[in-house]
Amino acid sequence: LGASTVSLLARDRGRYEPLPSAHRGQIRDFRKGIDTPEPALVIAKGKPDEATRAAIDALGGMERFVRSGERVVIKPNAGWDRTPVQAANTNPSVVATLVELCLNAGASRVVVTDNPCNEARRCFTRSGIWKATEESGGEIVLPADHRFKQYDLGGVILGKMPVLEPALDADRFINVPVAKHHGLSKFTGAMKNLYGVLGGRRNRLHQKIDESIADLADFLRATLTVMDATRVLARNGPQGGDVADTLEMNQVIASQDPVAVDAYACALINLSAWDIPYLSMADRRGLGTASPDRIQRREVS
Amino acid sequence: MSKISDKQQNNKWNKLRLARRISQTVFLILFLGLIVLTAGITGGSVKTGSSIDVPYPVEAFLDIDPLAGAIVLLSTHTIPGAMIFGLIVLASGLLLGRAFCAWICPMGTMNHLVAQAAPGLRGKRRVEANRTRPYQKIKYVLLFGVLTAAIFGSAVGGLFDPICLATRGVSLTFLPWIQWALGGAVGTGMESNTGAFQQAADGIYNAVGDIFQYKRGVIVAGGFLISVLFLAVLVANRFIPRFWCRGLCPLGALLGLVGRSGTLSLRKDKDACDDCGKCQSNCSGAASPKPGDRWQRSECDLCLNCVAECPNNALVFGLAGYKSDEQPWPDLKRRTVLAGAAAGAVLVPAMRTGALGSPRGRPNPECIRPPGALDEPDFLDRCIRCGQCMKICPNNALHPAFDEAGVEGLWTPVLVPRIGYCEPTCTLCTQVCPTGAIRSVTERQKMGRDGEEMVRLGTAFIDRGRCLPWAVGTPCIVCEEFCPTSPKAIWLKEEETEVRGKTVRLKYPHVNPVECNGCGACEFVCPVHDKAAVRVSAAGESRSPSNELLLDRTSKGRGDS
Repeated sequence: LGASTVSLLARDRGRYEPLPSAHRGQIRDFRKGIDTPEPALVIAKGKPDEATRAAIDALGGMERFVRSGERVVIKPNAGWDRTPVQAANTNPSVVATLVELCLNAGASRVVVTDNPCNEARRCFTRSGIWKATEESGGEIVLPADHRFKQYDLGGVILGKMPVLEPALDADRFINVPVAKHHGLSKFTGAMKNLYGVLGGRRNRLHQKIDESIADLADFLRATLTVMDATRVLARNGPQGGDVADTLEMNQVIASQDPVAVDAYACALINLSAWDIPYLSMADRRGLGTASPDRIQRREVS
Repeated sequence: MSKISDKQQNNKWNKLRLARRISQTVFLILFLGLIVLTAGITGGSVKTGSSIDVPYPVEAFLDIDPLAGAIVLLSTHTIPGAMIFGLIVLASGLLLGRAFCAWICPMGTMNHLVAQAAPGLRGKRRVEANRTRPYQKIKYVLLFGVLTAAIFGSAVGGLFDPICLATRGVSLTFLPWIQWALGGAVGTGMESNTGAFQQAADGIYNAVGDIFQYKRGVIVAGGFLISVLFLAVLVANRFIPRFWCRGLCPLGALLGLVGRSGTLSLRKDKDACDDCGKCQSNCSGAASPKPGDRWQRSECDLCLNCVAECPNNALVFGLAGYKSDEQPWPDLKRRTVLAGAAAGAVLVPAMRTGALGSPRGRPNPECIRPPGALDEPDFLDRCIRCGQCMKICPNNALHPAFDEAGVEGLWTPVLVPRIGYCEPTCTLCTQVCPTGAIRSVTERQKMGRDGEEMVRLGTAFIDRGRCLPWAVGTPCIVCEEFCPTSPKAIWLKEEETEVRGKTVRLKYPHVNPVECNGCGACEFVCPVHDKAAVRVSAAGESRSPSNELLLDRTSKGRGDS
């Protein structure tokens, strides 16, 4: 009862101030002032927290991406009312480790936010992300009507859409997807994870899902993508529900290039990057490379 | 008696009256607090991975309600767990009559507040409004009707139970209003384009938004009627104080009847009375406290106003045994009692003659009950329409029925997937139902895991005339993405087809009724925004042996059923 009372009081304390409207409707490039790291793609093996640390180390440390005093948004996949073992959401240890690394790099504030598909509080609670974030010093900002603002995404398909503004109100944006099977887009990872900053009737985007995903990756260019592939949902995605649907892979993949991360990770569930239309679209638009073999890549453990 | 002892006497009653007021305040705050807390149980930072449970007995006031307990006892011949606490209030009735009404009952206190706050009735009008009147007998007729209906297998009497009335009224009327107003305030603040207002608005949300969950302010059809009638009950107090309590409340009637041999009596000293009328003017039960009138024991709620107000000490409460000039038992004609009982008896079969939704007719496809709901006749045996399940639902999926469940099913809970779907792992409504109309269900049972039989609310059906891939050759399948079962109850078949002269590959959704649990997530997210292209009907609901869909619903095979 005590813990539950605390849980009732310990709620979303994330602060949010709307951005001036002039800031809306331009490409969000959170990579400004950061060189492409070498190697360009790191695959770290191990437990969620260790692998995350190893991956960031191999990219040159979090200090390369987050400078002192900067505000950081971490965008995990907290989309579903599922527990960590069901692998429908990003592993909470991966999120917590990144929050710590950002704070150690001098970040002034680390916000963890997402606009889940299921009821938001349940998703953040049962995914373990709420607890992990607060314990590691980050703030959870839940989606609420007033936190969405109309943005012009300026894409081929995506025009004006309500966007979860706390997700964009930062100097650095770290995209922390989980690798999963998806019924329509076949694979969901880094690029599809950005759906979570959208509000409104995003269920219509499925009619042009590949173009939408590419548009979104064009609009929002994350500082860094850290993909959780410690446990991969190989079927019945993106929601899963059965532990038997998951495969233990013990990998964390990090890169500045979300297309390369997706192209690498889709192979984990036996897909080829060229079978996934949004990856080739993104490649053609110059958002990244859909041939991860061609970029410098390193495996660490 | 000397003047001083009069004063001391009055002081004593004044103190006791203060105690009554404190008691009312405490219980009302407790009642409202439990309702607000119920709305806020959806998660938090402390717990992880485990199921989200109700940490407090939020239905406590219903558990101690002996009328609700009596209804369920008569209709099911059993008493669900915690409702045994109703005996405490019943015992209080035996000793102190209707003291519960003026000291504890939150509905009574709300009525009291509306009547007393800046009282509209003064002077002679007020004295007259508080005179014992024949309308006060209606509640006994209602009580007999409610109890007879229960004997005939219907808990429909919950419509008149004061605790149900208060719970339903506050949680399905006031809370949605507060939610709506909060949403408006926060939204307006945000649109102001002034930093200070915007921060204040976000601050409001952070402070109370989670508790009031202002996004969930929607209550459908039956809800409007709840609002109107609840307001009518409150406004009536401006004309006749505590009109509900005196005239209609069947719980008050029950306590009045069992209080016949109560321990306290009002002793009246006619010689000391100077006929000032203060006792009657302040009598909350219209129980004729004035010396010379016959004190109505069954109407008195021991508010103690008469003894505290009397300037001449002409009234005192003392232990019974003193033969006072009183009416111990309401003056009911046998005919009146029989009429009430007959009404209750006739009502049940009359209500059940409906063709759709009534237990005797065909099930209504829109009568989708919460997970764990008993089969319809058993459900109606127990559901007292308190609204707890609707209040706690994190997705605002449960709503008070209007006609979905037939006439009898007014304000019983139904799932409206277009407004909210049944969250796959949530079992909150099954934890708060005080009567067991919704039995307790675990997450594993709900999802059909670990060998448990899946709890089904119904089955989804695809409307191929509206579904985007089927009807207009456009890719979609959001329903499949949202389908929470594993394997998914919505499965896809990819086919090459010609759409307006072009050959395209499309994924077509199909429903596997073996896997479908009727949660309504597909209907909720279907992008055909008004009337969904995939809709859940109650067919195949696991609670009903007669509304079964498949010959073999236990096989777990996919597509080969």
